[in-house]
Amino acid sequence: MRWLKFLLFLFITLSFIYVLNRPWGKVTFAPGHFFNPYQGFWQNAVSKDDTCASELTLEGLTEPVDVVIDDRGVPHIFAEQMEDLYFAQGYITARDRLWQMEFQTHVAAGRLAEIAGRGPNDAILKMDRTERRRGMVWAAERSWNFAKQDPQTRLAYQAYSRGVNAYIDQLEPADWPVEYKILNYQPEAWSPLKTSILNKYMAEDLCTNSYDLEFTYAMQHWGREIFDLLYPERPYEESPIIPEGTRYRFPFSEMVQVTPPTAYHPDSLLPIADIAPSPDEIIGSNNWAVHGSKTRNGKPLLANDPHLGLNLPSIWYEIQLHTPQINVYGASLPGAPAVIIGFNDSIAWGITNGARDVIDYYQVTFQDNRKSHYRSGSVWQPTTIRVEEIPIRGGDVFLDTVYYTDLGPVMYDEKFGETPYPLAVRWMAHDASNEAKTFLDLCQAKNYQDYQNAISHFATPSQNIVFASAEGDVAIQQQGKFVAKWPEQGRFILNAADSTHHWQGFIPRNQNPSILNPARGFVSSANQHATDNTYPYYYTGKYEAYRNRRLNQLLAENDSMTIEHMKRFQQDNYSVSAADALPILLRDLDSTALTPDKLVALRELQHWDFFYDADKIAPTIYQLWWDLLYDAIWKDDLAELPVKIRGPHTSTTIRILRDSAVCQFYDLPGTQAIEGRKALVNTAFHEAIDSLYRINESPDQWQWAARKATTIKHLLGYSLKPFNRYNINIGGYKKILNATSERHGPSWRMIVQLGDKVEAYGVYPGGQNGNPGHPGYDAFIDDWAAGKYYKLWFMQSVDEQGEKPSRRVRMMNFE
Amino acid sequence: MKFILRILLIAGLAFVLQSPHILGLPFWAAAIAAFIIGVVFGKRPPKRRIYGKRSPHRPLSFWSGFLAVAILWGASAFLQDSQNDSLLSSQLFGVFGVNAIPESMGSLFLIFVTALLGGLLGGFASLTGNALGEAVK
Repeated sequence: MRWLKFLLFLFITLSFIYVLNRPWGKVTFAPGHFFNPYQGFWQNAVSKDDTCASELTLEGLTEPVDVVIDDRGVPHIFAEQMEDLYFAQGYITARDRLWQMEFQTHVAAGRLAEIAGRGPNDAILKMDRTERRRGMVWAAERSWNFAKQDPQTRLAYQAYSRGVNAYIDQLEPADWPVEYKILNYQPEAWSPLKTSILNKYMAEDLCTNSYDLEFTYAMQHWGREIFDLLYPERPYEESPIIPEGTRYRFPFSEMVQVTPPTAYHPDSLLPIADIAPSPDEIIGSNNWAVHGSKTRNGKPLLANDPHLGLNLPSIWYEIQLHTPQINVYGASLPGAPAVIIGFNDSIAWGITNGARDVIDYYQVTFQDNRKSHYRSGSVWQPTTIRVEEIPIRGGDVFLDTVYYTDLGPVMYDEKFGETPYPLAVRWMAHDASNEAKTFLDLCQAKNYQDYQNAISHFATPSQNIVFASAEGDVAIQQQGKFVAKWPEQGRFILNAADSTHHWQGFIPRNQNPSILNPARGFVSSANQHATDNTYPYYYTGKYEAYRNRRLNQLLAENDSMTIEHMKRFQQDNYSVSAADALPILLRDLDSTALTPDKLVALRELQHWDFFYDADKIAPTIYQLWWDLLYDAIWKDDLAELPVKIRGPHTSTTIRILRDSAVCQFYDLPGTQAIEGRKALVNTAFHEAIDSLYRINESPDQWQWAARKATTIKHLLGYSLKPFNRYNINIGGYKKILNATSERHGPSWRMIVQLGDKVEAYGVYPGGQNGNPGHPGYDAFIDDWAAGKYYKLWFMQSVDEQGEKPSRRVRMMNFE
Repeated sequence: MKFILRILLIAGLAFVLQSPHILGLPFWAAAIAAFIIGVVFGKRPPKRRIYGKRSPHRPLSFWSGFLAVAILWGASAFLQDSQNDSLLSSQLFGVFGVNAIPESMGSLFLIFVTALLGGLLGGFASLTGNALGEAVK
């Protein structure tokens, strides 16, 4: 009897432990582990006063390294040699951002299902397959195999990797970032390949969105004439990166000659199904440098605000790196050594997306069902096979066979994407390249020549790399590896069987658009075309039509500029597109038919200065009016196509509205009348104002920032909503210098004044610490939204005392 | 007195087993602590019998394990939470989507859940230990 009792209680106890030990429901943690205050999430509820030891003994350092962590959590690393420097960078970055750096590489490597399962309708598995079939890891392996031949890059990657692992190795499960505990998995060792994967992650973010598939469809549906009307190569007005009228004098013998295609009929291509449309117009980044002749104190100024998806933990991590050879400060990418956007004593540099199309899709004809050969020109070329093993949480493994042609992997076929014919993807980032070397070299560059040498290694994603030096030079170059193409090559799906469709040659680097100390006294870029039409090579891409005009106007009309000007320009909320469009709309608006409550809205617009400031209500009215009008024009026409495709650009829409009172696209379905512009403009206005009154009866409450509701999302923000930050009070919008939209915005704002002493400012929408339970997680967001900057503490020596308190950590080799 | 002694012993042993600075064992170590102390106390013959053969301290055995681990876990969670100004717990509470409880109570609710889970674990293990102690007596 007593034994029976014991066994009964034992059973209850063990069952309870079993229950606590296994994951439950949607969230995948096991309650026992998760709530255990000694190992679970409570351990991530860290003290506000970070209690980092002042001495760390680690294996792998040659000499001691000093790290000064300032009041904002920015580490200033002082090492005696490069290897120790990058080791320490890896260690310190992992300390603040381990989960993020690993998660991002998991995403890029197609390993999400491994931690999150298949997802509803296999959505997560499909994401993984997309990454793998795009050849992400394959490309990363190729690039790492190439990059490691360079001793400097190999040393940096390996030292960084050892630093990250030195941090991971000393972690107890209790110390793991809270996301690991919520998703119930564990960190794995870092490797140089992961850094390479991170580079491809950035390349993917910046240069895989091309319109090839959509345009093929649109061309087929509408034919050439309409297609050209809806999707022109250039906007109605633009101010390119290289000033208009610049002569391109490349010796004929040095130019790459391109054989025109034997046949290319984009209007007779077969349709593609089940392909997600590319996102709308490019999100927007700006950079510029002002020559000393245009600044108040004669010192050159450089500014950069790369715009990306607004996420937490932030994509950037601020850092200073110092050895006897280098002293550099700026924004680094968690997962990669060196600084990506920054400055040293002699130079500063910044980047924006070059936005050129460097990804093409090829129709592939296999010889037979074995797919061992495909048609390439006049011959059958062999394919190779890469079997992707995708582990799925719970123990399954999904095997995906991907066929590789010489052009690239066959991404879509009957098993994926449901295309009527197989499509291979040819992407510049597939080619082996060593982008890291650009940044390793920029960190220690002294002058224009060093800058040129450094950026020569940069292949993808193409970037507009702006430069200023203490010597007084300012320059910008669209850097990347580019294909010499025949007109419209790669705008639509290409044919692998036709060898003239293949990439025939690469444009020599010294023929890339580039300018040094132009007469106008500044250089700039804002994701627009790099050149005017006289550039001798054809190129296409994903360009933005409006910021360039505003930026170049501001830089041209201001003389004797200061850091304050730079701040103002970065936060400039003036909308060129609204200034272009509103007069056209108002011309057609019948104001006699408006009730008093609608006249209020009209008056707001009539007195609007076209600034999308946070507290204004006019941008709310205009934007909703515009969005409804845009939908009225295009939605029904786009819906006729059997796939979802992106609508025409804003600039195209404005041009059509400006030029045509009547147009086939204005007509609405299901009405007897043939609607003209006037009808659409008026209907959209009434709908917009009615819906605003429905949301709030008082127009005072229609403030732009509240309506826009900018959100900064945790990388798992779809399920872990409390880690997101909602309703950020900030102005600006798409196509505006301050291109802060609902989910995108300036991911790092930096301003540098060079000279005998560098003065620099910066801010980004996040914080140094990746832990949502740490005050540093979102510490900068309010200042960022309010347009404030931090003066960057660019230390000259380890003994320097700052104005604000800092902590010092000495890292020593374990012996 | 013995009840309090027992609570102190379980809590103390669980702390030694669990603290990341000492042994750092997983959550079930709390059950082992309660179990061991249960065995030790279970072996002691009851001093007097009230209702027939029933041992008077079996309910106490459950509650001693429950209270020991609940207090240990709850206090530990509370300490972590207060040094953190509830920054993490208030966000995590949102993840669970418990609408019945106001957001301002979210952190306390998580501390309560922590204490409750620990308490049940300790309680059952203490009972089991006690029963074994009695069985081998």
